[in-house]
Amino acid sequence: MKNIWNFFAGTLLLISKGSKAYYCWVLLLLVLMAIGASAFLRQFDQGLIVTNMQDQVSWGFYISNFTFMVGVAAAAVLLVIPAYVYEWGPIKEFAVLGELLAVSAIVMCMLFVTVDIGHPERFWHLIPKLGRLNFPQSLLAWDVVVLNTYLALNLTISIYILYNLYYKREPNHNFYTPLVLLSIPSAISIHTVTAFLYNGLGARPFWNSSILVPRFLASAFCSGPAFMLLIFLLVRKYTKFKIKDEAIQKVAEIMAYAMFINLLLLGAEIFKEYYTDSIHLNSFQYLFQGLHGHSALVPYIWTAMAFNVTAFFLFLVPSTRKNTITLVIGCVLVFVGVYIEKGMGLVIPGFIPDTLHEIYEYSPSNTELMLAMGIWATGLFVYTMLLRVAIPILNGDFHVADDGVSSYIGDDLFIVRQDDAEGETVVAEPVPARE
Amino acid sequence: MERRDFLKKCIMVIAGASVPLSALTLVDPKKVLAANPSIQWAFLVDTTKCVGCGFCVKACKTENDIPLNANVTRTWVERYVYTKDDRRYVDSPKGALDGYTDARIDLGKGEFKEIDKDNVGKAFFVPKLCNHCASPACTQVCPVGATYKADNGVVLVDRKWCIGCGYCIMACPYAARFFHPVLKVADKCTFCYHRLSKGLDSACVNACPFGARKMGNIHDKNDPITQIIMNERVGVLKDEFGTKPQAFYIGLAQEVR
Amino acid sequence: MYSYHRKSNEAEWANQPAKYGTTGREKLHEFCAECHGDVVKIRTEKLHGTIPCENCHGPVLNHPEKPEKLDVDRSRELCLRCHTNLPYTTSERKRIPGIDPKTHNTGAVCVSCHNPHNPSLEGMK
Repeated sequence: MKNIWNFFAGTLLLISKGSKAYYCWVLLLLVLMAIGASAFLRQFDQGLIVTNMQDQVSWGFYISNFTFMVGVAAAAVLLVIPAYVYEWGPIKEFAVLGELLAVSAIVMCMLFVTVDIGHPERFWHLIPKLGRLNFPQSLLAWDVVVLNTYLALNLTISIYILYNLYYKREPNHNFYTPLVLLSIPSAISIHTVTAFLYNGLGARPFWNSSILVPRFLASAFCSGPAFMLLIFLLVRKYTKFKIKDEAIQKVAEIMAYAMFINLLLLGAEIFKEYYTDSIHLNSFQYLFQGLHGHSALVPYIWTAMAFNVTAFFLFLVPSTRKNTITLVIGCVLVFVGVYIEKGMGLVIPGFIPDTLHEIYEYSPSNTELMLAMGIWATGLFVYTMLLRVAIPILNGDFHVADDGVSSYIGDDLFIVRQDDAEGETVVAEPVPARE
Repeated sequence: MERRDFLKKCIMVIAGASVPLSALTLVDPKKVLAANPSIQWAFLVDTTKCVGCGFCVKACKTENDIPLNANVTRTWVERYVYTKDDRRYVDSPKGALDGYTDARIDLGKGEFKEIDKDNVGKAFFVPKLCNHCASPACTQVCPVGATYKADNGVVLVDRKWCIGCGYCIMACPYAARFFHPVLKVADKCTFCYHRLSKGLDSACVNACPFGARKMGNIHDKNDPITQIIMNERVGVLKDEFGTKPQAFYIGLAQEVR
Repeated sequence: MYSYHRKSNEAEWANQPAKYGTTGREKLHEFCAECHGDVVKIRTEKLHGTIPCENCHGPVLNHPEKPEKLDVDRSRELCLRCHTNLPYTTSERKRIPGIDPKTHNTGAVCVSCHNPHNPSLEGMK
């Protein structure tokens, strides 16, 4: 117990240290979080009336973001499988960073759901025993269960490994391997269940298509790794952590395949809708062409399509995949493309036209934008803090001091531009921490 | 880890995870229904009698404290106008709270469509409300069990328990549910549950001067409304969703959804 | 069906107070006739007899205690709900005499000429 406390105290000390850039970054995030919090307070006070959601479009920008973040969270499995199942060294070195990304993404998911409900103070109704979770009828109840399971698994695995590394012990293989194995179906399940959330509504033909689950998975395996790669490239550039090129190449390659499947499934869906030309085509028409003069989403979805196709080719061709600049461009394209396609592009057309064939064109209100920005800042803040602790531990720069109580902090600076040539970086003087 | 080991472990994990699932028992809905089979409320709308006066909407909103000017309503009346050159128009300004006092079609956003008097083919009004489905899509999806079907067939929302997630609103194929702007919970027609339990007619049935809206106990074979439902040609809205709606319509047109 | 709920909620709904009495078509103004017997009888024999008293006179709530006097809606808009002329020959609306609200004595209240309880043209004030 004392050890846990010492570990915790050490991490608190560690996150308070860093470069100027680190402080600026954290300060920026805190300001954005404060803006988001003020928006939330206003929404909590006045109700969801301050959003542009209506009964015709009852889920909007928040849930679009939620859906996208579930995809990012599920993508950690892409590192877990090669790392723990195939024991592939280059990825195993940083698989824990993927798990921490999953943790941050799930935190964001939960925040996005919380701000979307009319009575957020009644969230405890969802806790079994205390409240009354309508399991197994409601898919939303399933989502609560799988998201929390996935969060718990990733938190346990990553903290367990980091904690042991901090105390210079080899993590017990027999303890965490079953958890890691369980996290694989669990990652798939958060996606499957979130897709079922939409899929199960017979009243909404746009979602009521069995291809939705595979589409969700395929797009998750694009957007999540894209976000991870961007972060890993930043980590490589601004911290002392080393990530091998071959690991990044492997992830980019997997993304190319995933994007192909994603585009294929979307194409299959579009073929079926347009060729049969039934009344269910309306939502697709709204999304891709505009319906009865309403076309708010049309420019966005075509941007997304262009981005996705371009990124697919960038990842497919080995020379552009290996070039850092085109790789970064590809990742940004995928990230933005899938954010549009799987966020607003998936959620909003399900409501348009609505069940009475009315059209209410939705676009997020300022409060929604500010709140969403605040939640993004919160997610990035959580991830920054987790990385601030995890990277020095993995590097061996943060561990228990020789006295077994205080912490040794070998890397005082975080977020410092690393020069490519070895040995030229300014190595901070190791400062033994106070007790 | 060998691949073989991996498979072995996977099987172990799956087997372990499946144990708690078997502990869950599903409630048989038929058993629940059989517990109190004496009353099952059903609604009958005679669209041929409706003139679109909107008294029902006004009475409903007043009776149930639904904000009059908010764009939400538990029941509403739609107007269908077909022109002779085969165009179809549907509107329902303010849910017909103030009736239809304008021959122009309300296109929303302050735009109106004038239709030449001689070009009007057929036109009619259709009152809508919650269908109190025998197999409701809305109660199925509620994550906290805040909405349910009472023993007498009425689908209710527990206002103190609803968290306001809005999932039921989108699950309903009939757009019968809405988000209560004051209470911040899902709201819907209750068949005026409080009035039924006092032996009164529901507010809309009471207010209709033309007998376009009626209610009856569908488990009572001698009930006049049940007789009509059994003997006349009645239809329901969107039965393809398997929700088994309990609001029956006389004179339903194919375009009415 | 999915009867997985807080049981007491059914009683909560059942115990809500009612605002409208039963003056509707089925009960033929029984409630009002209890006190206003003769007036109600005469008035319901005429054309408008099928219209529930409360549609114009307002919900009875706890009348006659509270409110003592009902707030009657005499507005032009109330009459126009049925008596706006709409060219819908296939609807029941065709049987109701209608006017064009834009041209027919604009701004005037209908009840200044027409008697709502005896709406035939002979019964005009």
